[in-house]
Parts: sequence; structure tokens; C-alpha cells
Amino acid sequence: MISGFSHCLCVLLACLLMQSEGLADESSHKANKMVVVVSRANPVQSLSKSQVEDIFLGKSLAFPDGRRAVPVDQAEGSEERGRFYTEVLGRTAAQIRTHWSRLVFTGRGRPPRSVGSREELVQVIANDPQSIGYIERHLIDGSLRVVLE
Amino acid sequence: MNYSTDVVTSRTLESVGPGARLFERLSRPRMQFFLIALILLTALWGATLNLVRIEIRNAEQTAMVSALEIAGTYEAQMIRALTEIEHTLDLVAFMDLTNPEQVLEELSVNHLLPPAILFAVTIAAADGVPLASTRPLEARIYVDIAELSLLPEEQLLVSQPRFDESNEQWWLDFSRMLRTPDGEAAGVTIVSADAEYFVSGYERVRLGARGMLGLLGSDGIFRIRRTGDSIAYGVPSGSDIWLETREDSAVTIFGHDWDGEARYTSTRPIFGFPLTLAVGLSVTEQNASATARIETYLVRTTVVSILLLVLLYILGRLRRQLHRSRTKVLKEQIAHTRQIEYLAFHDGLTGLPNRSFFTKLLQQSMAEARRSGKPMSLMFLDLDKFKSINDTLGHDAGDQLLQEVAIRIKGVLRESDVVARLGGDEFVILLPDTGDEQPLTEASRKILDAVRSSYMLAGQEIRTTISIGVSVYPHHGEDEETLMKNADIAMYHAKERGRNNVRFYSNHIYTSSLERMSFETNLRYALENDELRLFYQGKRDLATGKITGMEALLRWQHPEMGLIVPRQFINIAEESGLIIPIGLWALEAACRQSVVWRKQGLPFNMAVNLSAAQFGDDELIKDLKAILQETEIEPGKLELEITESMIMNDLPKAIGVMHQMKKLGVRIAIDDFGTGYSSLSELKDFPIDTLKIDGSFIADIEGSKESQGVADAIIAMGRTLGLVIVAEGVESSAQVDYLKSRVCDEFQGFYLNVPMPSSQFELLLRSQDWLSGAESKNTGTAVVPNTAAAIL
Repeated sequence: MISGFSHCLCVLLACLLMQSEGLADESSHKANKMVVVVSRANPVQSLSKSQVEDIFLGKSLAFPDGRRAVPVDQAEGSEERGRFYTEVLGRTAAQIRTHWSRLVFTGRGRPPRSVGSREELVQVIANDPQSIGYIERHLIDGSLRVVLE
Repeated sequence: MNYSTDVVTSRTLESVGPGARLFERLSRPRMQFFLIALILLTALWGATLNLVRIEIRNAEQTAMVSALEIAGTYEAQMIRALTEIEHTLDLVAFMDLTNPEQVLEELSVNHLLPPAILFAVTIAAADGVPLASTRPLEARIYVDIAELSLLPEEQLLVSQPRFDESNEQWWLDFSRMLRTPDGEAAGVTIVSADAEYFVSGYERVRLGARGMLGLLGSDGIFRIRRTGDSIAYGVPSGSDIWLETREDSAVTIFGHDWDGEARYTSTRPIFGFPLTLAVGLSVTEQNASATARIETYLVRTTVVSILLLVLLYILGRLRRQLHRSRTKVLKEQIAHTRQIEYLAFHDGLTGLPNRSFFTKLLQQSMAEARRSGKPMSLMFLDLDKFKSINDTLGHDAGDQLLQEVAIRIKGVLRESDVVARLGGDEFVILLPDTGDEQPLTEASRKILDAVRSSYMLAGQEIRTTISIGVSVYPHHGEDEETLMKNADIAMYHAKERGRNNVRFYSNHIYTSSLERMSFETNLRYALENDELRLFYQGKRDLATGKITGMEALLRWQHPEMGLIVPRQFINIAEESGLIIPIGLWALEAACRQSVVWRKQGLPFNMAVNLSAAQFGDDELIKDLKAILQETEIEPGKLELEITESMIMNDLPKAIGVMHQMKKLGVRIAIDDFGTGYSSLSELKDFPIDTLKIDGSFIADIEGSKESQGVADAIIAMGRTLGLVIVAEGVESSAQVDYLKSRVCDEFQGFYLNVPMPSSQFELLLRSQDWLSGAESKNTGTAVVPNTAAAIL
């Protein structure tokens, strides 16, 4: 009986431990999570994943309310950029390159302009109500609004 | 009838020539269907193949137009992309390059550089050491400086594609020399482009899965080439064809070396750049829909062809069946017509030609004989006594006999001879090329022999004979009617001469036949013209030699032929039925004469012969009674003479008639007694008064014991029955003496009793009265003795 109980206890403990570890991991993950942001001055409150995708892949040039949308990329080859396309839009870098390759070659679009650093990005977004970008959550300040987590 | 017309037509055509013969062959039903099938199938397949050709041409044209359009678009896009690259190179060269990194930074911030995602811009020193780049700086550049330095100033260099392992990407470097104002090499500007960028315009919708987009350097190496999703980098084209100068509008079709795919291919050198673009559309893909349609056409046409053939086959069969049934009906009609014709021209019983057909044949044969100058003969045949065979054995047997006779006659004749049946038991034979008596006799003999052999009819063995008359064309008649008539006459004479015989027609026959004909006519008028006469022959008592009575004998006083005895015309009288009125006339005349003489005191018995026809006539008794009343003759003075054979013919009836005669009171004598076969028992029942012994016994009485025996027996029997016995044909005194010794009553005959006309006989009777008891030998001298005429 005793051994049975202790066994049960052990399992319970293990479970708790694992959960606490997961929680800790999740909190850090949450902080690093790539979110889509606009300027506080932008009336847009939230966007769906497909709306974001349309804006970043050049399929749509405006927000749902009709105002012009200007997407801003992080620097080519930066970690944030890679993570945004893979984690948020579910695309590989090669897919994005092929996408823009076709659009540019056929003259149907230009890729978003990119900024040199995340600080620059925050600044650009904050100052331009038309712009939209992505950034790690923990870098958000009061000038930005998250429209897609 | 239609058949013959057809034959004539086809023959006419055949005689015209080979073309017509071909036409005739083609117009046969089977060939007609074959031709229709051929024409329809040719038209069908011609139309289909034409459609296929149009389909292919349209597909090719569409593909070519499409290839040109794609090439045009591709060219425009390519030029814009290259111009942008060149523009970037120019822009960099324009800048003050003392601080290259700053230049790039400045250009980038101002969005003057192409998108970083696809392009990289690098500035290197003249020795090839990179100074600044929009990408992380590498240790070296990949442009061949030596090659670049050889190029003219404005020319840019397009390097071979290189693989960047860091991001697994192919780059294409476009480089240009940076020069000092005096022309020395100051550095190199490089725009690296994502190689895939140049084929990113590949659209499946337009190019398909096996289309091709490619960019070649002037060295003939594909910088990049894309087919579907597979992209090749830096591969040789393998053929000069890619760099050949041709019109922009030219599209060539050839198989591409690397995959063997045939493509509609358009190549265009890009103006101002050492590059050529190439567009290819897979022939298979582009023509796929057309091919599918063509396949549909071919399948449909094949199905329609098969249906057509099946339909034509069925139609052909139906037509053939129809034709067959029509032919059958036609054949039946022809057979029917032939049958009718046959029946119309042949005798149904024997199958021989009938009279109308034979008449035609005879006319033909005579015409032929006239042409050739050869004679021909005609035989007329008639079965002897056919009527009695028919009556006794029945018609079936008679028919059978005729059939058999027909077969036998045909059997002994030549092929060329024609036997026909005219009806009844009459046959005719036509013998062409025959006129001499000898072969005709021979042929007749054969026929007679053949017909004479016995027949088995109705289980009985029968024999018959035939009589033949022959006439020869042209000797015995020049027209068919005469020829037939004369053969008939000849045949009649053959019959007269005892049957089973052949007679040739001759002028003698002609005469006798004329005689016969005039006889018959004349005899008819003999009664009216009062040409008949009665002669009288005396009957004398054997004992006293005195005339006791007389027999009336008929004579015909012919105006031209003189006195004719009955033997010469009795047959004609019988055949023509004149025998009855003539007999009655004789009876009446004799009775009148007897009455006349009685009134003159000469009351003698009068004997009159009755013919067989008269005796058998049902009116006899009535007529006799009338004559007796009219002439007022004493019946007991009239004696009617009947032959023994007349009685025996129908004995019961004869006895009845004799009894009726007896009732009238007349006497009855049996003439020619001894020749028949009447028995004594029968004789005693006969109500007769007199027996007349046949002259044949009397003639032999002196020499023949048998004749004596017969005469004796008759006399004895007559005595027993109380009859008067008269001996006929007595011609000598010796015969008279013998008869006297046998106690015969009376005698007749040339001895003392020559027949004579009434006037002379009257004198004889009167003289007898005066010379009672004396024998008068001279009374007969007035009459010419004529043996043939004396005996009736």
C-alpha cells in the first residue's frame, strides 16, 4: 500500500514539475513571440492572419477600413524576419523569395521596404500611422498597438 | 420476256466496247452497293481527315501565336529587369566611391537599390577585393576581372551562375568596370540577382508542365533554364540553333536535347545585352486538346463507317432477297405461262402436239419443203375398232391404249418426225424430207407392227390394229387443208381394204371417194326422184316347176351409172340412215304390185327382204301395219324374209318382233338358213312359215357330201316342223333333180328364175297360166344374166 502511494506521489510530483517548467518556458516564449504591430495613431485594432498575409505579400495595399497600408520588413537575413514569415505566416524564406521574385519580375509589385534594426522599426511604425510591422512582444512600447498575436 | 430484253441490252453494251463493259459491270447491284459504300466512306474519311488537318493546323497556329506572345512578354519583362540592373550599376558608378559602404547605405536608405530580397550590390577594388556590399561581405568576388577588363566600357559582364551555400541559392552576377576619367580600372560594381528571378515568369497556365523558359549567354550556355518546377543552371545548350539569328516572329519546332521534348521554340537576342531568351511550348501539351478532338473524330468516323457498312450490308441483303423473291415470282410466272402454252399446244392425254400446234408445225414444214424443194409427207392414222374397246373396257383403258399407242408410234419414228393427236383415236405424223413410197411404206410397216403387238389393259390382253393413210407434199396437195384431207381419204380406204393397212393417196382414190360422196348425195335423192326399182325373181314348185311366188329385189336405176344392185350401195344406205325409208319404200311397192297382180288374176305370194336395220327398228310393226292397210294386200300373201344372223343378233327381241308380225297375219321366212348357228330347239319356237336353204350349200350339193348332209338335215327338219322349204341359188337341172329326190318344196335361182322388172315378170306369170305345166326356158332371155346382180 505504502509503496503504491509513494509511487503515485512520485508521478504527481513529476507532473507538477514538468508543468512548472513548461510554464516558465511559455512565459519566455510569450515575451519573444513575434507580434504584428501598428502605430497607436492607427485606428486599426486587430487584423486576422490572412489580412496580415495579404498586406505583407503585396496582395493588398490597404487595411480593411480602406486606409493605405505600408508594410515594413526587418533587415534581410535578420532573425525576426525569418521568424515572422515562418511562425506567423507559415512560409519559408525560399517561398517568400520565390513569391517576390515572380511579382517583381512581372512588374506586379515590390517587396516591403526593410529597416536596418528593430529600434528603427519601432520608430518608423510609431511615426507612421500607415505602416505595419512585426516585432518581438517584449519590445513593444506605448507607441505601438498589437493587431495580431 | 423481260429476260430476253435484258440479254439483248447487255449484249448490245458488250459489243460497244470495254468502257461500256466496265459501266455494265459497275451497274450490277453488288457493284452498285460497293460503289456507294466506297463513295460514302471516301467522303466521310475525306471530311474527317480534312477536319484533322484543320485541327492540327489550328493547334499549331495557336501554339505558335501563344509562343510568340509569351516570348514578347518575356522579352519585355527581361529588358525591364536587365535595365534596372544596368541602372543600378550606372547609379553606383555615378557616386563618389571614396567611401563605398556609405554609398551603398545612402542608396539603400533612399530606396534606390533593387529589393534586397532578390538582389545584392557589391563594390570591389580593381584587384577584386570586395569593399562594400548590401550583403555580408565575402572574402572575394566571383567575377572574372580579366574577362571584364577586356570588354568595352559600356558592356556589362554576365557571369556563369554560382551557388551560394549559405542560403542555398543560385546567383547571377552582372558586373561592370569602374574607371577613372582617364580610363583606368578603378574598381568593379556587381549586381547579383537571384538566378531564379529570371525564370519566375513561368506560368503553368500558359507554358504547361513541359514548357520552357531560358536565358542564354552569347557563349551558348544557359544561365538558367526552367521547365515546370525544375530549374537548370549553367548548362550548355548543346546546339547552335539557339543563337541563330532569325525573325522575331519565327517559331521553330524541334526536339530539345536535354529531355527530347519537341517544342514550339522562339528565341530572341536581347538588345543591348549579351543574352538571348528562349521560350518553348511542348508540342504534345499544346496539341493535347486538338489530339483529343482528333481522336474523337477518328473514333466517331470509324463507328459511323462501321454502321454505314453494316447498314449497306443489310440493305444489300434486303435488296438481294427482294431480287431473289422477284426472280422467283418471275420464274414462276414464266413457268406458269409455259405450262399454259404447253397445255394450249399439246394433247393432255398423250403429251403430243394437238391439232392447232400440229397445224402450225405442218405449215412450217411445208414452207421449209417449198424452200428446199424436197417433198414431205403426212400420215393419217386411225385405230381400228377403238370405239368397241372403249365401250367394253371403259374410258380409262381407252385412254391408256391411246397413250401406249402414242409411245409406240413415236418409238419407231425418226427424231425429226412429228406425231400429233387430233382427238379421239386419230393421229397424224409429219415426216419431213420424205416423199418416196419405199421409205414411207417401211415407216408405215413399222408403225403397223408396233401397234399390232398386244396391250395389257384393265388386266386383259388386248390387240388392236391401225389404219394409215399417206399423202405427200406437194404431189397430193399444196396446201395444208388438202394434204390433210387427202391423207384422211387414203386412211379411209385403208380401212375399207380390211384395216391394219396402209394406203397412199392417189387419183384413183380420189375418184372412188368422189363416187362415194356422190353416191351418198344421189341416194338421198333416189327416193324422191323415183330412181329405185323392184325386180322380181320367181319361186317355183320343185314338183311341178310352176311359179308359186316371187321375191322382190331392189335395184337403183342411176341416171349415169345405170342399174345398181344393193350390194353396191347398201353400206352407204346403212351409214347414212337411208336404209329405213328405202326398205319401207320397197315393202310398200311390192305390196302394191302384188295387189295389182291379184286384181289381174295373178294371186301369187310376194316375198320381201327386211334389212337388219329395219328389223331392229322399233317402228317396224307400226309401219308394217300402215302399209298392209294402205295397200289392202292380203297379209297371208306377204312373206317377210329375215336372215338367220338378224335373229341371232338379239334372239329374245327377234322372237317378240316375229310374233307381232305373225299377229298381223304375214308369213315369215328365214333367209340364208344354215349359215348361222341357230339351234333346233330355238328354231321350233320361231313363229315362221318358210326356211330358205342358203345358196352356198346348193352350189356344192353335187360334189360335197357335207353340203348334201346340211341340205338334207334342213329339209328333214323343216318337214318335221311343217315348214315350207325353199332352196336358193339353184343354177342347174342336176341340182333341181337332187332336191326333188329329197322332197324339197320350192326353189329359186338363175335356173329358170332370173330377176326381172315387173312388166316382164307379169308376162311370165301370164304365160304360165296359158302354158300350164310347160317349162318355159325362154322367159329369162330378156334379162342379161348378171351373176353379181342376181343374188341379193
